Amino acid sequence: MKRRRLIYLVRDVLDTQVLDRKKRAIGKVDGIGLELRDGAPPRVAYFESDAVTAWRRFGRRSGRWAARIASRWRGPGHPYRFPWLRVRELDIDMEIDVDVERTPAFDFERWLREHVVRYLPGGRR
Amino acid sequence: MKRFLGIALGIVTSIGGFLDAGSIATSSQAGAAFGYSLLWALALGTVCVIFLVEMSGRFAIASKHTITDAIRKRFGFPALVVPFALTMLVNLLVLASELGGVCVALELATGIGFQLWAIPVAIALWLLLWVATFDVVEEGTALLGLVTLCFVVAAWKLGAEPAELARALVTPSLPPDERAHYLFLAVSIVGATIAPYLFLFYSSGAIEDRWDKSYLTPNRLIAAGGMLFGALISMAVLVVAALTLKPEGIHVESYEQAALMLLPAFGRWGFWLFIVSLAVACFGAALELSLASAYAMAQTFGWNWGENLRPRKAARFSMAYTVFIALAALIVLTGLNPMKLTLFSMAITAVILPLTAMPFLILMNDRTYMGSHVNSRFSNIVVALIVLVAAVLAIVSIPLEIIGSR
Amino acid sequence: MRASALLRGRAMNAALRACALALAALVVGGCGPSEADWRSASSWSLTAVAVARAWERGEVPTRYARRALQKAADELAKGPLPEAGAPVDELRQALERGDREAVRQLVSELAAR
Repeated sequence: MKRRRLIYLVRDVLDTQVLDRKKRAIGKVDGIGLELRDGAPPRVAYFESDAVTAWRRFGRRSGRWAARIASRWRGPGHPYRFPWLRVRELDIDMEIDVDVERTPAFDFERWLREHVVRYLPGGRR
Repeated sequence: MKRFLGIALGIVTSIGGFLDAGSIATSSQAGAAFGYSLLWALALGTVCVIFLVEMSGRFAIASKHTITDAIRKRFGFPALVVPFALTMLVNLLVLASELGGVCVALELATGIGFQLWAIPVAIALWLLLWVATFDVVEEGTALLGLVTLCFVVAAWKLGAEPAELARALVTPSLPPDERAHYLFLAVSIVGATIAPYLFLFYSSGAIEDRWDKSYLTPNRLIAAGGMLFGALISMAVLVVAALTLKPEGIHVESYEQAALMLLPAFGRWGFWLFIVSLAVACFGAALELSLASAYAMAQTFGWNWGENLRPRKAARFSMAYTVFIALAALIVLTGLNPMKLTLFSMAITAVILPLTAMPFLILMNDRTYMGSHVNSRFSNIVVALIVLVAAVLAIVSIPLEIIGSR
Repeated sequence: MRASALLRGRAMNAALRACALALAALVVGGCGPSEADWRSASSWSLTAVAVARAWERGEVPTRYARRALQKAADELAKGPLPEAGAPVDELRQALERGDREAVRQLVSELAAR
């Protein structure tokens, strides 16, 4: 990744589109996890790409709703978190060194593909 | 040479795709009820949309972002939710209007009620998006949309006076009576001309086509040329209605009445030209609107999206427009008068326009996105003024229109 | 962020204002035929005349003319002068029969009013 002196987390990272190593969309950076340390400045622990996190930012009630819906529908692996190490490039979008098919962020896409799109004409291509 | 052809195609596509249920409904009502006196509203809307579309292209070129993507990044998810939700709701109503327009055209042609056409047309719409490529869809329907030029021919045949038209374009006026309805129509015309989905969609297209800095001038030409000549067709609809329906005392409250307007100019052909124009214009708009809504959803939540992606490769995106079309079909099935639905959704568009246009304007002045291509103060003032005035007028005139039509 | 609160605030304000105005309007509006109703009725009568004349000239198909006249009759029946719907309905029936003479006569009667 390009060496930068200063990255504004909220301006440049939060709500940025996240792409995988083949430049396919994974999601947005919905949340940033900071690690608070005694006697040292806080550190970025992970980035989070998760719909529930995003809705929680909109309001406490919508966050609870989202969590309720999510708990009923989702499999394990949520919320999807990844560390700085994974970040390959941060420019207009954030590119990370993973395969989107392996991330839980892809669950909804995969579910739709297997359960709906497949049964519609031409959906198998 | 290739670039020139590209610009020409861009302009032609914009012209063919300009007319939709909204502009046909509002322009024909305006002409039939008030003659030329609402042309200024059309002019105002056109000026604003030229600015917005040009800005949309310039934004995509300079920032390499689409507008929705950038609004989320710049203002954060919480700020995007309300404008996004409202825009989606209005898009749904407008899609139902467009779908309704196609169904009404089929009803006029065959005598079979428009509600019965809702499902077949919705399926045709969906199927086209599902299997065809974007270019075929966009350019095909836009080129077919050139049939709407028949309105311009009709206006010329009926002997419209250019001097009179020019004067009406620049002089706003208020009639002595029916003021609430006049204002409501003025606002609906602006909403019909400045459809938010239009300029949001345009930025997605520019990113897809990978426009770079060399496209700055072509963008300006396409925006100005396409929107200007497209608006001429809208204007022609108003003029024809003013010259054929107003003298007969016919107000346009339903598409059946509007269907009469091309008869004096073309005789028997006029009836069929109207039907084909209505059907093609609305179908094209419906395609674009469905795609635009799916783009907005994908770009808000970070899904993969793309014109030529097979449904299997972009399941969420494809299902988004599928659900959208299905919901719109349901609305048409309820049997709501398509013309009334169209007029109201145009007015509501004017109300929520600031929610999208203002954040966009802020982005257009943000150097981190635009670099040296930020907006001039003039552009900012023009767009902000038109959009805010239209919104305020809309909030005032919609309730008045509701009382008036009781 | 300030921007989000601003946008949400503006949307809420606008929506609330619109709702308040709409409610007030509905309450104040009341019933009884308005100017708009009379204009609409007149417009539909004239539409019926125009449609019938166009049909006579062979410019519009019977299918369309029939539906348009039906619509006009329905709208007139709902309007401030429901009796005006009857002659239009007669016109529609004459048209369906293909009775050009009757249509012509009914049209001139309607146009005279």
